[in-house]
Amino acid sequence: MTSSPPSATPAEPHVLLRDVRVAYGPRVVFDRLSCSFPRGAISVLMGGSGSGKSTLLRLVGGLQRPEAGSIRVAGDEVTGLSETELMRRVRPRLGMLFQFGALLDSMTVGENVALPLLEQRRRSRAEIEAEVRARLAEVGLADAFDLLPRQLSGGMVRRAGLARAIVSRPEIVLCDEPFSGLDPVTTRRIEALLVDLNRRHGLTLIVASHHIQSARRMAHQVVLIQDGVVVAGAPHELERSADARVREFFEADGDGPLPAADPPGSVPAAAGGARAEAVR
Amino acid sequence: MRVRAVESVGFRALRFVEELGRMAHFSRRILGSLVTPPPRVRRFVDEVFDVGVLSVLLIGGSGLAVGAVLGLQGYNTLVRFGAEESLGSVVGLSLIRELGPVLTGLLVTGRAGSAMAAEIGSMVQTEQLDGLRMMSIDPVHLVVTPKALAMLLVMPLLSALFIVFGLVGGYLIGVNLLGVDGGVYVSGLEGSVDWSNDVASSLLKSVVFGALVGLIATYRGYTAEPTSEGVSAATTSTVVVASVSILVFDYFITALWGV
Repeated sequence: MTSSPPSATPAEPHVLLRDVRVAYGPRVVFDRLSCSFPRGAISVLMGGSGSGKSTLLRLVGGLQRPEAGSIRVAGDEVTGLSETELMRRVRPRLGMLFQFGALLDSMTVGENVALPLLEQRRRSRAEIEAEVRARLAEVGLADAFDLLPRQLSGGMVRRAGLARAIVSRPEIVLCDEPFSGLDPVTTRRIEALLVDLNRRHGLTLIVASHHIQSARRMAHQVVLIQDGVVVAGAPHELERSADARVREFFEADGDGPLPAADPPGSVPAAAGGARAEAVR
Repeated sequence: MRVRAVESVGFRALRFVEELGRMAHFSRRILGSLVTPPPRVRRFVDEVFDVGVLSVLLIGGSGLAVGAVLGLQGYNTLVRFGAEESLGSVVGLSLIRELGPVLTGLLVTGRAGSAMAAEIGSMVQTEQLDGLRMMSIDPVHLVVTPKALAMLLVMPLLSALFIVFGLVGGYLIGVNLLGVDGGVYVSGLEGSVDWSNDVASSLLKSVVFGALVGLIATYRGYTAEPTSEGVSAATTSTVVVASVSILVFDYFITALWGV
């Protein structure tokens, strides 16, 4: 497996957000945010800390509800669905890799990965075990079946979380900071895994990350959220953006807010065919 | 100034009522998940072990100590009136009607209730419950209900254990140390304890306390802020709210039982 730039071409939107507003009390995270994520593509969500990358993933998964706006996942409008409807209609199409794995402490890695399949109650235990072992082997954790999450390293937890996210064969996988706090070798390994999953299974991947090098290598599309404004395009397009803030983000580590290059309220224009949407 | 004080009282009252409503909704979800398949038998058994079996030493030791103190204090008081042969009745009725269920409730709240709130709270903090929701698994069904149900089942059993150890403690002090006749101690106990009245009210209290502690601990953990301070606050408030609730409900059950 390699992590060279993937060849798939972005197609129609698999996930679509329109005029979404999210606020925590007086702090407005998004106001009229709109963006889309093509089917079968790897989209990397980027932006400074606190820009709302994780919030966006939670909105797509229905874990958090917007104050206003529309969110469509594979054609289904999710904002009006009850928790039960979300569980029945939307989440079976989604898998999510959380920042720290979110594996259940009380279960072994094998039990964690088997959990979604056991809950579906469609297959025998032997079939489920075979499937779980295959997914663990796919992420390089064939020997971790009986280990507890506390016995794993950070990278292994992330890979086990990924195995759990893909075991029920979702269409869309949401990854929240899959590379944070990992060494370069582990980062490359997880990156290669994501690219491989996208190529072999045609998964739509939405990856929230600070990691610019990974985004350059793996992304079909980068969605940059900066001060509530979304700029989207291929990585090489954004690197040549006419907007100095966008270029600066790619030149920096992307770990914090950038100095304002434009007057407040102005709309940055993305160069090279990148799509820019003003959100406030 | 007075208007602000009234406003503050009104705001707190509204918050209290709102919180009660949320707890009622949460308990309805627990009840609903009791009849939703699949049954979480293995998780329930694990919780019974955590809450019950791991509390046995604490409850047994505490019961023995409380019974010993009751034996000592009871004897010293009764001997002034020449009524030391009533020691079995005093120790037995005190333990069965009041101290057994109440002290067990408080001890289990401190040991298992706080741990329950902390565990669920840390699952909220580490996004484990969100992970379940993303797998289309209801966290109330998988995590909360087995814990609340285990607390409900275990509390009366631990209360009974506390009472038995308390009676033994009273016997050891009263009979072996202070010289009360063993037969008198036991027959006094037998003669004064009424099954349909004393034991039934004790059982009712421990069941109610089990339900209260289970509900409060799981609710506080489930609604904890996803931060270290949030988990800490959930744990503390579980102990405080559950302990006060036990004492308040104890009064009302005692008062209404005789009506």
